[in-house]
Amino acid sequence: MIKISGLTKRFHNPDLITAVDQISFECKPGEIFGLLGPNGAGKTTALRIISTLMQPDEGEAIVGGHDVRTAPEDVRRSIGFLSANTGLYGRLTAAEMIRYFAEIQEVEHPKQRTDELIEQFGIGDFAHVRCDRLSTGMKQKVSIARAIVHDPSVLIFDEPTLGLDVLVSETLLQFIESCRDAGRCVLFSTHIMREAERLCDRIGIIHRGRILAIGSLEELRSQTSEHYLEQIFIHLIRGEE
Amino acid sequence: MKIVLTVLKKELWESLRDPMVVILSLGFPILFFPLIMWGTTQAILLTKGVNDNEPPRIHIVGVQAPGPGGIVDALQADPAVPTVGTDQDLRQGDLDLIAEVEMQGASMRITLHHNSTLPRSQRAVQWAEDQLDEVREARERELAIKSGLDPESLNVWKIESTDMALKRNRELDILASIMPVAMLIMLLMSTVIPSVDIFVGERERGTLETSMVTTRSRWPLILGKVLAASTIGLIGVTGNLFAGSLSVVQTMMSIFGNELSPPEVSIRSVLLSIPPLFSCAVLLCAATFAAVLPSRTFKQAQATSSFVFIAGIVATMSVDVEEEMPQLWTAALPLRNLAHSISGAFRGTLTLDYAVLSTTINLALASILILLVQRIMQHEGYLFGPENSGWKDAAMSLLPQRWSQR
Repeated sequence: MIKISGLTKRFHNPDLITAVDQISFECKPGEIFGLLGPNGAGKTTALRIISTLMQPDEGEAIVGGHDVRTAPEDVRRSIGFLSANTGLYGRLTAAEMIRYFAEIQEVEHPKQRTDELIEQFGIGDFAHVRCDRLSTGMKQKVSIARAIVHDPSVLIFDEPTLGLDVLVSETLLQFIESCRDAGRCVLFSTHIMREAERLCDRIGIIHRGRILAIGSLEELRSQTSEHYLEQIFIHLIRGEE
Repeated sequence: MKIVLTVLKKELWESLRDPMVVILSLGFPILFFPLIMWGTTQAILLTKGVNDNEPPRIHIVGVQAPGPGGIVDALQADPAVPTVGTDQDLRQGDLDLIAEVEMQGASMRITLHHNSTLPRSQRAVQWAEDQLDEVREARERELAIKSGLDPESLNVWKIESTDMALKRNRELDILASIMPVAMLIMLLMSTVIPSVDIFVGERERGTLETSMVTTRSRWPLILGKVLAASTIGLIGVTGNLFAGSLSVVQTMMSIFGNELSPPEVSIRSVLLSIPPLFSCAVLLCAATFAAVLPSRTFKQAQATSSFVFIAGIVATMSVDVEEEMPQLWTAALPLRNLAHSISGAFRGTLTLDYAVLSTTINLALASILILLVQRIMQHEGYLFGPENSGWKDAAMSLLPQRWSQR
């Protein structure tokens, strides 16, 4: 599970900017927690801290029982990270790509695991095609397989459907739902309201680095007296401004 | 170690599938030697041919009656060749030499005006000096006989020099002079481009973030990358070593014909030169990684690495330390120790002490640079700068008081 409390991150660029300001939330196994906010709200920074790519200035982030500050290597072992940038090596084939990540994640039987994932995601037809020759949808499948090759208990998705067409997005959203069904803890950031409405068990609305409200869709409706998530979002942001 | 090998294998596959790396790091350097040597051979043979077939064109001025007819005859190699010209003709290459003769009392002063930028003019000077020496000796003999002296008594001594070096050593000495600089250039060409691609190219393509969030420790990632770039460099250098040696030998054979035999290289010296070569390749890759850390794009990184290494080579090779300090001390100077090791390999003079010391120093420096790279890569400013906290913050994190933060 993920437990975040009082997480703060500031940048000098060149003036001091507080990108993430005292945010706190929890995400339990078998739950999809959505970080919903406009561009520049601090979603990616928060996810980068949680995935150990950045250090927090204040606060605590516990992932899978490990502190991102003191045990970043253990945190990396327990997470799978997927962003809009598929992060594939263009000159490796899809199978080589999955196998490479299986090996550096020290999966016990990397070849067997690679074959399983190729089968599971229907990659077989293009398993031996170089990644730079794959379509966006194919790349996203390989990218998902890469992210879960070590069977992580926590999955972090940073705006994963950005730039994808409807069909590829749908496949991805179905996969995220299946992760919840498999009992994984899923942290999902997006600025697309309908995705958050459809997927998330609980939503944290983030704006200018601060979380304005947290709860299930029903709880947010009762807090704001608005029905649709888009209206809830606008209500909260206007209240803040 | 298993992860290091996995990263190494993946980086090698990726790099060797990149046509740019294959052409610039492996293909071009291997073709470079034969092309340069072929060009040199042709130029030398052409110059040699021209000089052998055509007599020097010499204009003699200032000869007065009763005139040194012997001099005129001696310098007029071919009566059919025009022997009139001006300083301007000499500068333009239409004339090879102007011999200015003037009487100084009972003796003569002969000044040979030539053009040092033209090989033909330089050869004409040599030819004229030989001719005039013969005339002078004939005159001296004539005068000695007239004076009732034995002409042989004028030759107080004769100087003849004989090169006692073995022929194979003379040939290897030529290789030992040419190969170190050529190998350094080739090593740079072979290592820098893959290093830049493996490091900055990956960040530019957005795959480095994925790797860094995946690998548990970042050490194997960096070490695997350094070793991959070094391996590509060594493949390139090995190819160059063969291509270069064969080209030089072939060139020498073309120019000197049967005067030379193929050189015999000391196997022990060649084997001893491998560790310094490998360690230097590792050091160059680590230095490239460190040099290109602030670069955000492949092009920026290429420019930075080129500048740094040209400056490094000029600084290292231009200081003539061989005369100033004990030979073993040069092992402490990276690049210079590689040049020394390669020349020692051809001359058969490379010692075990030197090879061990230079390898140790190269690897120690490489380790320091890899540590620096690792520290900076761990900092978020490296991956996400300059938009966020920036690369300078990453460099600042190296200060001891901040080490405890991570």
